[in-house]
Amino acid sequence: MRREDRVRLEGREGQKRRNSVSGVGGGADEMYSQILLEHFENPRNLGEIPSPDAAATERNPEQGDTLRITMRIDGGRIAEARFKAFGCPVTIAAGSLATEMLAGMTIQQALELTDAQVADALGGVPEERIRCSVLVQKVIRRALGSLVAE
Amino acid sequence: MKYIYLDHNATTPLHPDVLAAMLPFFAEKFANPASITHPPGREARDMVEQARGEIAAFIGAEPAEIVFTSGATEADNMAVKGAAWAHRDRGDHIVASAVEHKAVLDSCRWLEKNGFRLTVLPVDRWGLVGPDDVDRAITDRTILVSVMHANSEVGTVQPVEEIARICRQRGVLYHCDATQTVGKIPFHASAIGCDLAAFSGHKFYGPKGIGGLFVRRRVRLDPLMTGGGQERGRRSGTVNVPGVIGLAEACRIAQRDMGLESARLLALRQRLHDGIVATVEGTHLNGHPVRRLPNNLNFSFEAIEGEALILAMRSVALSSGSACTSGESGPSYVLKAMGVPDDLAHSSLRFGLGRSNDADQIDAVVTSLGAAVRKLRAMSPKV
Repeated sequence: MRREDRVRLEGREGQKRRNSVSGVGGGADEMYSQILLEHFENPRNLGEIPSPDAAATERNPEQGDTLRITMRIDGGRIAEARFKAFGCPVTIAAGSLATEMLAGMTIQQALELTDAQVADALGGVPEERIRCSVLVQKVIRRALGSLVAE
Repeated sequence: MKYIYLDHNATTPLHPDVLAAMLPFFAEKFANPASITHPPGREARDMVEQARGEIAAFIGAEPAEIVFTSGATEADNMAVKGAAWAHRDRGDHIVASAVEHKAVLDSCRWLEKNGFRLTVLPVDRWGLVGPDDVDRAITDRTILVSVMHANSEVGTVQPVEEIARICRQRGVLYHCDATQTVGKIPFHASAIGCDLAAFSGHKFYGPKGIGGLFVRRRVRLDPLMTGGGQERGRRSGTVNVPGVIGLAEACRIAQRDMGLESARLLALRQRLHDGIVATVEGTHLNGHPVRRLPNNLNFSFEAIEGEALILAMRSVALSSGSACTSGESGPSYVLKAMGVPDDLAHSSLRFGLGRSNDADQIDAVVTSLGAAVRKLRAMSPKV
């Protein structure tokens, strides 16, 4: 990933929010924001939509992290999105949060969603974990790109 | 949050007796052991020399063969760079196993950048180095062979006596990184027949910041640290007196307890192994089934990433060979060298048992692990 993206992902907002949350314990709890931990513990929209209108799976070849998102589209808007994920806590939490963000978006809005926005909404992602987290944008663009082309 | 600590291959807590032995040497008996012009200095020197004698006896060495360092990383650097540099008049080739600690491998690579040639020895699926491979790798330009005693990730114990014998026959120096074995299983430098051996206090309930290098008599070594000429000119710098005292106490405790404690840990490890195999499907044991440290288990869990598994277990302190936790771009180089596929390397957990663990904790870990695996597998698009 490009350095400037990294800086944006680790943006001041995310940093501030992450620092402002007091962890319940030590170690990993301090490494991740409460928002991220909460999504990891209680992932939303887990699973797969049967016969989805749009679907894609992306795999990060280096770390092996894999994210699959399936979507139901109704009247040009995403009515429902579900995810499955293999990977580190960041990948799982990003998948969960992305499905929440996607619900209600137009296809165009979804295509404009960036990894930086997801990372920021997660309360920031530690710099050393960003390489694990950047699958959301790719999955959405692959899933919806063909719909726009049509 | 209260943790079940299962990361004893990374570090161990200081034993209370070690702390008690060290305490007088911070503020009260603070003198520099090199200051032999006054009684407090001479007392410090005597205490350090007495400790050196005890440490030497514990690892099967003579007192003069022990050089105190800041830890195993420094000792490994000193062994590899110091030996290669001191013998560069008679060769330019070094040999190291693919699963050596980075302190050894990166020292070898530093030498490579400075005109030496490096042969990296492969390991088999258990992580074992073949003595025949060592023999084949040695040329008439070889100075040093470095093969560790036991691996920190998978616990595999190498055939060090055989490797030492080959090195002696071929006239090359043998460095044995014993960081994971000293204090855990018997390590006897002269019985093994190595020329150099690194060890560290905090791996067996001693303090951090102290370790040592065994240097066989008459083995030439260029110092990394130059200055005051301490440690017979091999390692300049004021000796870490509280550290040395703590290291000696840790050796004393290990000497006393090793038999019973390693039997206890073996039983706990078997309980953990059997619990995992009975509770979780799709597991793979990494490392040798028998030739391994008594306190170490390493498992891969299909279709799960190691760090996520650790976080899902919450109250267990563990480490993983996954890329996210290794600090490298790929998963553990040790597992890679053993031919473990990347997916399984990402899904590996290292269980390092120690004094604080008991059967109840092991059962709690198995239960927590089973629940975490089920939860994460339900999320995985791979299953």
